[in-house]
Amino acid sequence: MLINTVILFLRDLLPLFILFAYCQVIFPTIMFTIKHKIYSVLICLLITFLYWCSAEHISEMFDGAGIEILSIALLLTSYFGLMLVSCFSNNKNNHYITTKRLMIMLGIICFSVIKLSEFTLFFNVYTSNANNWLNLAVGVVIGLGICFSFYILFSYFLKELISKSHQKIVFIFWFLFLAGQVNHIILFLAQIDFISLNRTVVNLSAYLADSSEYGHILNALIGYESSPSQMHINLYSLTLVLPIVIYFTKPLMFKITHSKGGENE
Amino acid sequence: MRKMLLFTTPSFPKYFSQKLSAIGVCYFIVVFSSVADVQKFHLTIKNHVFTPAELVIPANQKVKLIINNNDDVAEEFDSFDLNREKVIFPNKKAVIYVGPLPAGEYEYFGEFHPNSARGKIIVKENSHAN
Repeated sequence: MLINTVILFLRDLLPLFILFAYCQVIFPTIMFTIKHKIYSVLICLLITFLYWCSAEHISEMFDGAGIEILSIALLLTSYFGLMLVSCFSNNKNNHYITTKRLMIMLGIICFSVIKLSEFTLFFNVYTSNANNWLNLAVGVVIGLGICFSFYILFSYFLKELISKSHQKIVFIFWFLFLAGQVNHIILFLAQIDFISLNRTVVNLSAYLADSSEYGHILNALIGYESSPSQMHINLYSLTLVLPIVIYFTKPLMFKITHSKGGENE
Repeated sequence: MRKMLLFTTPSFPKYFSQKLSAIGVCYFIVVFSSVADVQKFHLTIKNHVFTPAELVIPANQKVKLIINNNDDVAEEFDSFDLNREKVIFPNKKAVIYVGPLPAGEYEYFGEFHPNSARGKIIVKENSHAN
């Protein structure tokens, strides 16, 4: 029960803390007032509550694939919302600030709903069946401690990189995180028979198993899979390379656009 | 404004949508024809125990695993070997597609009751339904 509770926190809540750490450094120019944050938290909690209440009915929709389809939709929405805003985060045109803010909020809310609903479901079953409340309580304290300490250290690490003008490295880590999270849709699609996965390309479970604590942490950071299939690798590469290309060619595109605008005048 | 040549010609969207529709139809024919041939296997959860504890499925074939939860609490079918996890709500069933897998043993467990809810899927060459 103790270990299960800690793993629950690593699997479901740690990615959320990592997301918040990244958002703090990636989107500092986009102002979020206290009102925006409160609204975001309330909307997130409301949707999570609705999801939790209706999960049983959703799971029976689409021939038993309801939960997977909803998770895929939320993950894709989160990925594209956060990816597009971060690729163009340096654009200080105030006309787009509101749109960016909404996209960031949407991305964070969608991602949070997935993780919080899974966490809530697990925690609800754990607490209803727990014979040893002490183990559960200790597990909660340890899990929360790991998540918070990881958040603080990781935020400090990212801010240090930014302060030393290593912004590009931070953005590569950020795109690795996004690619890792959105790649979970591969498993959902295979589970509902929308795609067939090929055999695994490489098996690293002897070195670092998915079920280990480090495996969970790496999975949260970069979407680590000990035995990825070819489709995993293809999608991971695509979802990683696409934002990197956009981000690094963005100055060139703006330069071309502005030079064309000068010529037309 | 002058740059958008190919993508704004009237014929391009129609050509693209026709190709996309053809690809989509072919894909769905392949998908649904493969689903029709899938073997079904059943697992039952009762008193936080999976039954049968060992399930034999054929190698190199996709199979449909139907898991019935006869308990009053939710359980999660979780397997790192199979890369599958799915919550089965109380007195409901869930469907998971597994495979094609090479011969071997693949362990799974119930996330909520990992001590009691354990089992393995044994993949054998040329095996019949269990």
